[in-house]
Amino acid sequence: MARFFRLWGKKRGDRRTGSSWAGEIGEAAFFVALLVLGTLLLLQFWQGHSLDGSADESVLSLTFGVMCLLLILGTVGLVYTIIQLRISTERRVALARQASQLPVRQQATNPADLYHQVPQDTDLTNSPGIRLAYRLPANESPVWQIGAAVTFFLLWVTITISLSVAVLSQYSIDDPNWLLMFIMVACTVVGCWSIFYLWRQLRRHAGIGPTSVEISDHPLHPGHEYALFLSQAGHLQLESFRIALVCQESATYRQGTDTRTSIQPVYSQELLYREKIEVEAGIPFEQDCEFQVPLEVMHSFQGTHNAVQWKLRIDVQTREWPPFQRTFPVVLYPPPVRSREDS
Amino acid sequence: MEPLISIRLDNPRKHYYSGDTLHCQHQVDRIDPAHIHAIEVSVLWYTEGKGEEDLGVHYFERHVSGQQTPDLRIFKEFSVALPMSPLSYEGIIIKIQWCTRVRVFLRNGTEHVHDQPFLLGNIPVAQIIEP
Amino acid sequence: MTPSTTPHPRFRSNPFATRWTQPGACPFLFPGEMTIHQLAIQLRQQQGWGQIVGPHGSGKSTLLATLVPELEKPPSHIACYRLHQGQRQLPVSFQDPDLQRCNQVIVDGLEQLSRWSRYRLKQFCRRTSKGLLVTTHRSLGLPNLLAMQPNLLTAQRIVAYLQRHHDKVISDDDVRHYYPHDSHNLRELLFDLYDLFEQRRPAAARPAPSASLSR
Repeated sequence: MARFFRLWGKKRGDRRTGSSWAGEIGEAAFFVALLVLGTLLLLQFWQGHSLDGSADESVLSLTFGVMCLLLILGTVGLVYTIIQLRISTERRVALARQASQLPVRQQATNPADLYHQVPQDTDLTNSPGIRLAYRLPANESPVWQIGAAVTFFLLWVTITISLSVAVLSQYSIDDPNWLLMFIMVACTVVGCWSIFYLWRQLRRHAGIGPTSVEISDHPLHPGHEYALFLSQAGHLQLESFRIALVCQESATYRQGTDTRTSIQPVYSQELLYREKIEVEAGIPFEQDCEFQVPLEVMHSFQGTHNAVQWKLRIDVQTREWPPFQRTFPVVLYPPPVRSREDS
Repeated sequence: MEPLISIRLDNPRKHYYSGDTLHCQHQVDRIDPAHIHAIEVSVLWYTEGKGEEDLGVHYFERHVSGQQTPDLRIFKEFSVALPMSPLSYEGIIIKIQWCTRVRVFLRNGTEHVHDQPFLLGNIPVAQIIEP
Repeated sequence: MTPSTTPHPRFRSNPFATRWTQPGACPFLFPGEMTIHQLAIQLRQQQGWGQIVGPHGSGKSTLLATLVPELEKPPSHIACYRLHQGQRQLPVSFQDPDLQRCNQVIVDGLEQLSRWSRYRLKQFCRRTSKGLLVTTHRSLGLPNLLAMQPNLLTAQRIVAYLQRHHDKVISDDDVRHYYPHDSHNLRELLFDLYDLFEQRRPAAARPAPSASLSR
């Protein structure tokens, strides 16, 4: 019963405590609140506000637009939340996995027919590099975070300005609306936080620029050598910069209502390590290196519940920002068929 | 009494590599042939560890008792080329095991199964690494 | 899949792998003198209606897996459904042939259903004179069949059973150390013991690290 009343969640290993049901209710309540707010403001706009030219038409249009936006946002969000409530956890996990990881598809191509349960590398090799053959996609993308922060900022500032205009209009005719004023103050607080959050995201993104990894060939084969080209943009002081070839096992267990995924690293080969590097804006830190894949290691494997995943992992420690990590998935194929002489 | 299922692989060390041909002989003893409804033979891999089990069948054949095959107990054999992947793997939270499996279906509805594991490839045992 | 023979000699099975601990693979170990047969009789005395109540990882699904073969004996015909998080409705309609034909409905995880779906299911079973056996984390108004109360002794018995074919790598003291006294979640305990068993594999069984540096 405790988990239904806990206000915050705790992370325990790969799981989180707390009630997902309560979270979904809270999310639905948020969108309902937006919907109600937009409806109330719209009603008040039509009932109380006269279009006699006493107010600037552009402000009126903006206020009307914000109300409609609130209505749309609240409706869409509420519908989406309700739909999400009907989707099982396994489907949500699968959807989330599609957004963040490489899709595993059984294609009628030769590699898929030959290498069963080995992930396809189509999405890894569809981006040519500048110096080497392929540019690898990263698992994490900060663009979404910034996009979300900008959208939220613009929306909330618009709402706050519109509310402020409405409150001032009421106040100017000696008919203050205290409820509206209270809502405006609350929105202003949230708006200030959104400005601060956006500033932090922009500053972080400008400071910690994109990390680019290019590779000479893909997929990887045991015993073969490969070249890497690394590029770290931004404006920061690197205390350390490390890239490693790592392998991890991933196992998902589900029983009853519980689902958990365990991750276990099983291999790590450091490819490059540098210290005390200054990265200037517009002049990214670039480095070449070579590495050889060991002969006898497990190949990439993808099952329904279990996986062996290889990736290039970059760990960076900076003076200005918290340490960050970027990972670039790769696919390692099994060794070739051995000749009879090797038997 | 349970039937006695025997499976014999051509390689006494039961260690194969991708592309090798696996020769398997199997037979069922200690049971009246009239009690056997069907026999299934398969070459498959399965996972074992902390996660739910995954399974893949590489080779499968089913024999149903009938006029043309009245006695399914008798000695049978088959050959199959082993694939490139997945290789046998002894990891930490995931292990991949290959085996030849014979499953006997009796007319009373019960089943009896026997596995003969083998190694595919030569992947060393994984080691625990701190994250 | 029922585990059968021992794996390849080089393949060292972990007795705490899900293959050996999932419901159906490991029998339910009753406390005291109670047997599965007695539980089945009790359920029949309750006209097939009952709830197995217990917290997460207490062995409800394992008990169900042990009980189902006992309930499947003729003339009983059962329909069994396992619900996962987010499943607010039964996966089949009330017109499903199996559901119509059975005289005992078993639902693992009934609390996942919405209140309305639970009400409809109960009404359906009453109307058609079917028994309803469920597992749940909290009481849902059905007659109690068994309240799961795992404890350290139960956990030690389970560990001893799982290690019956292995060297005793995990001791009773280890179980006492890792036992979750607040949640009594045996599944969590078995996951922790899996890791501990792997850590205690002989050092000679694992190759030396082979990492190279490029500075």
